[in-house]
Amino acid sequence: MIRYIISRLVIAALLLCGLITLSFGLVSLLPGDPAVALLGEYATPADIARIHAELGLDLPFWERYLGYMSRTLSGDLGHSLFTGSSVSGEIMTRLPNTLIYLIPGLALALIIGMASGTFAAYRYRRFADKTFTFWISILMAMPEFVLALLLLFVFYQQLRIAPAPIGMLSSAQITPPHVTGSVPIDAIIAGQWATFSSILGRAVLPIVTMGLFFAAPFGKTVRSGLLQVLQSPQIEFARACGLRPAQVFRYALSDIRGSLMTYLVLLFAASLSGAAIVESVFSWPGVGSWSLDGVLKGDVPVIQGFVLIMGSTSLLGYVILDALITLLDPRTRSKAVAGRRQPRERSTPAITSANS
Amino acid sequence: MPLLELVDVTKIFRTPYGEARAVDGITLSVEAGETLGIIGESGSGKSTLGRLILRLVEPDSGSVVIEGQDVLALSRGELRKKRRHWQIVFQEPFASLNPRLTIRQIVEEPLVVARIGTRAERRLRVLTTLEEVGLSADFMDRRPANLSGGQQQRVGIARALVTNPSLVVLDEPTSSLDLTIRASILRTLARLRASRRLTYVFISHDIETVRHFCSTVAVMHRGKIVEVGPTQEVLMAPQHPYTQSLISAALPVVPYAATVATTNLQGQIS
Amino acid sequence: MNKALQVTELETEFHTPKGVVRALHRVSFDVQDNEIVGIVGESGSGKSTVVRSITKLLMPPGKVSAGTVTFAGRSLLGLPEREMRQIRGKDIGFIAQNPFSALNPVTRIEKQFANIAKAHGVKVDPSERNRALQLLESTGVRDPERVMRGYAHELSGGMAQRVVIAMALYLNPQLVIADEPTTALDLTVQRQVLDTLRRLTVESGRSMLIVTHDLGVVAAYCNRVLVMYRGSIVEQGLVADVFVRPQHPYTISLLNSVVRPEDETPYVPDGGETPDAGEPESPDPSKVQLSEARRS
Repeated sequence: MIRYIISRLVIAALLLCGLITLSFGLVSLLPGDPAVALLGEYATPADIARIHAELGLDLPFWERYLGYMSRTLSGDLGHSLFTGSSVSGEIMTRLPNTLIYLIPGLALALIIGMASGTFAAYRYRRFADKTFTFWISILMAMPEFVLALLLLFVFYQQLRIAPAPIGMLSSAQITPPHVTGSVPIDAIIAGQWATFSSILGRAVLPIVTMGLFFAAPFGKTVRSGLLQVLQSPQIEFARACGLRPAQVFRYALSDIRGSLMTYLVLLFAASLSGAAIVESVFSWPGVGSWSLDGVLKGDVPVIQGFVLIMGSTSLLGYVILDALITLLDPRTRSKAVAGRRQPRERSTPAITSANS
Repeated sequence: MPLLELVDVTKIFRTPYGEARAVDGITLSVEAGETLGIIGESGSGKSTLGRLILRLVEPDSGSVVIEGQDVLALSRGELRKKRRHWQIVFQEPFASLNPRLTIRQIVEEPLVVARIGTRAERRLRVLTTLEEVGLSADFMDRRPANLSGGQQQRVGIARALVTNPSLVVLDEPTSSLDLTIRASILRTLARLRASRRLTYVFISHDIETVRHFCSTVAVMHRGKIVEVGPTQEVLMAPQHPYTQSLISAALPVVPYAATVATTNLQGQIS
Repeated sequence: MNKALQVTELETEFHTPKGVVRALHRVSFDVQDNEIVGIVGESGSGKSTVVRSITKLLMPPGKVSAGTVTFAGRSLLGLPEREMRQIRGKDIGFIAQNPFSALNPVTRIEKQFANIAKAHGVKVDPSERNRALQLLESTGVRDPERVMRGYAHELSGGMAQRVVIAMALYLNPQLVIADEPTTALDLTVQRQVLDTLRRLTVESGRSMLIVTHDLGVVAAYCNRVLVMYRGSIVEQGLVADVFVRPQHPYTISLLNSVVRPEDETPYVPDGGETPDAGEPESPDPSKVQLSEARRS
C-alpha cells in the first residue's frame, strides 16, 4: 500500500518538473519581447538591454532554465512586470476568492448533473428524458459568458434580487483588517460575518453559472453511463434477485463510479480555465480575471504563475483520483497492495475440484 | 517427412504478477493431408500453440519446421513471402474481418500482399475461391456487417485459401456459430480438405467436433500435451487421467440421437 | 402433479424505429413440480426472450403484447412491478449465464447475500449468514467463509457460478430459471455445476427451466424439452421422445448437426431465406410439409 502511494507521488513529482519546464518554455513561445511589452514600441536599444539584464534574459539558456526551476520549486514565482507585485503573493490572495465560488459551483454541477442524468436514464426515451436532452444541448451550445450575462439580465436587471456584478464587496462595506491578504479569510478571522455573508451572497450568481455550465456535460455523462449499465447482465441479475430499485441503483452507480470521478476531475481542470471569463463578467477579484489581464498585457511571470497553479492543481486532482479509483475497486486494490509479490492463483479448472 | 514438425516449443508470458508457461515444451508432428485436432479448455494454451506454429507469436525456445523449412530461421521479409503457404482462420469471424472493406477486397488482400497475378487474374481467383467455400458472386461487393455469422466465417476461410496454402490452422472456427451452421461449415472444410489435399491443425474445445473432423488428436492441459494419437483410440480409450475427465465430462447427445440418425432420417429419405 | 409455471399463447414484440418485430409467437408450455424443462434453440430463436418475458425483466423496446403467465396460481403479467419484485429472487430464482458479469464486482459476496435478504424483508442476522454459508457449502464452494468475505474476481469461473446458484436459491424459490448456466464454463466444470443444480432443485422439490443451446445438456439433465425456432416453439415433449423421434424438420436438422455434421443439410424454412448461404438447396419434402403446416 505504502509502496503504491510512494510510486504515485514520484510520478506526480516528475510531472510537476515537466510542468515547470513547460511554463518556462512558454516565454520563448510567446510572441514579442517582454522588454518591448514593458517599455513600449519606441524604447531605445540601451533601455531594452537594461531590462534584459534586469530580467536575466541575457544569460545562457541552461542558466536561465536551472535558475527558473530552483526559484519556482522554492516557491518564488517572480514579480509582475507591470505592477511589480509578487506572483505567488497574488495567487495566495486571489486563489481563495476563486475557490469560494468554484468549489460550490462544481458541487452544484455534481448534484444537478447526477439528479437529472439519473432521472433521464430511468425515463429513457420518455418525455422527461427528451426534455433533459433538449436542455442539455442548449446549455452545451452556450458559452459560459452568455450564460453569466443571461443570469445577470434575469436576476439583476429584471428581478433585482441579485447584487450588481461589481466584485466581492460593495463600496459600503468595510474591508477587514489585513492578515492573510485574502478578503474572505480575513473577514472570518476578524469575525465580520456580515461582510462574509455579503461575499457569499455575491458569489451566488457565479456559483449558479458554474453549476449550470458544468451540470450539462456531467449530466450527459451520467445518463449515458447509467443507460449502458442498466442494460448490463449485472443489473439484470440484481433485478432478478428482487433487489429494491434503490439497491439496484447503488449497484449501477458502483459500476460507473470510476468514470464519473474521472470526468469530475476533468471538469475541475476545465473550470479553472473557465474561471477567467466568469470572473471578468462579475468583476470578481480571483486568479482568473488576474491571469486574463496578464495574458492580454503579455505579463510573462503572471502567465507562468497561472499556468503553474492551474497545472499543479489539476495534477494533484489526477493523482488523488487515480489513487482513489485504484483503492476503491477491490480488483485493482488487491494488486496495488500486493505489488509484485506473487502471481495470483490461476483459476484453472482443477480436475480435483469439489464434486459433492 | 512430416509436413509440420514442432520440437520442444515453449512460450512464456511474463506479466507483472509472474510468469505463465502458456506452451510448455511441446513436440508434435503432422503428416501431409492429416488433420490434427488440438483439444483443451480455456487457458490450456491451445490458441497460443496455433499462433506459434505460424509464428504469429514468437516462441521462447524450440523449433518449428514446415515443409522442411525452419520457420524461426526466416527473416521478416522471407516469412511474409512464405505466409501464403501457411494460413489461419480465426474464431471470431466478424472481429477478424475489416468492416470497411468489401468481401472482394478482403479475400483479395493476401494475393496483393504476396504480389500474385494481375488484377483480372486476382479477381477471377477471388471469385472461384468464394464459390468453393459456398458463397456466390453476389457477395463480392457486400461488406462483412451485411453477412450472417456463418457467411462471415466462409469469407474468413476463403481469405485463408485464396493463396493456395498447404497448411491451414483453424482456431475454433465454428465455436461462435450455431449448431446447424457449424455443421455446414465443417462440411465445407471437409470437402476442401479432400479437393485441395489440405493439412489442417484444428483447435477446438468441443470433443464431438474433433471426433467427426480430425484424424489425430492431441489433448492439451496447462501448456502441455498430455495425450496424442489417432482420434478414435484417444477418445475411446483415453490413457491420461485428464483426457478421461474431459471425456467423462462431455454430455453427448448420442445415446438418444444415434437412433435419430438411423431411424428417423431413413424414414425421411424413403 | 402440479403445474409450477404455465405459459399460454405468449407474444412479445420489439418496437423499433423501423417497425414492430415479433420476437415470440404464441409460445405455450408449462413446467411441472419436480421437473427440469429445457428450452433449446440457436441464437436469435427467442429462448432468452421467453425467460425475460416470464420474469418481466424485458427491457424497452421489448414488450409482452399477449398471453398469460401463471405461476403458483398467480397471473404474473398483470402484476405491478412492486409485487413482481417480491416474487423475483424469493419465489423464482434466476441463474445468469456469466457469473463474472452477474455478480457485483465491488461488493463483498456476504453483502450481496444480505442485500437480497433485505430486499425481501428478511432480517439480516448471524443465523441468516450461516444459512448462506451452508448453502454455499452445499453448492460445492470450497472455503465458504473466505468466499463470503471476498469479492467475485477472486473466484474461478466454476466457483463464481456456484455462488450465483447459492444466491438464486437463497430464499428457497419454488422455480429456478437458468439462462445458459454453463455456457461460460469449461467442460470439466460444466458437469459438476449441472449436477449441483439438479441436486439442489428437483431433488429438493423445486422445478427448473434451463435455457441452453447445448443439446447434450438437455439430453443429460432435462425431463422435457422445448425446441424454439424464430420465436416459436416448433416441437415439445419428453426428451426421450423428441430426441429419438423428432417430428419437426428443424429438430431433425439440429440433432443431425451434432450426430452427423458432415452429412447434414441445413434446415431451410419456407420463404426461401436461407439461414446460411452456400449449401446446395435440394428439394426436401420436409420443407413442403413445414410450409403447409405454417399455413394451416
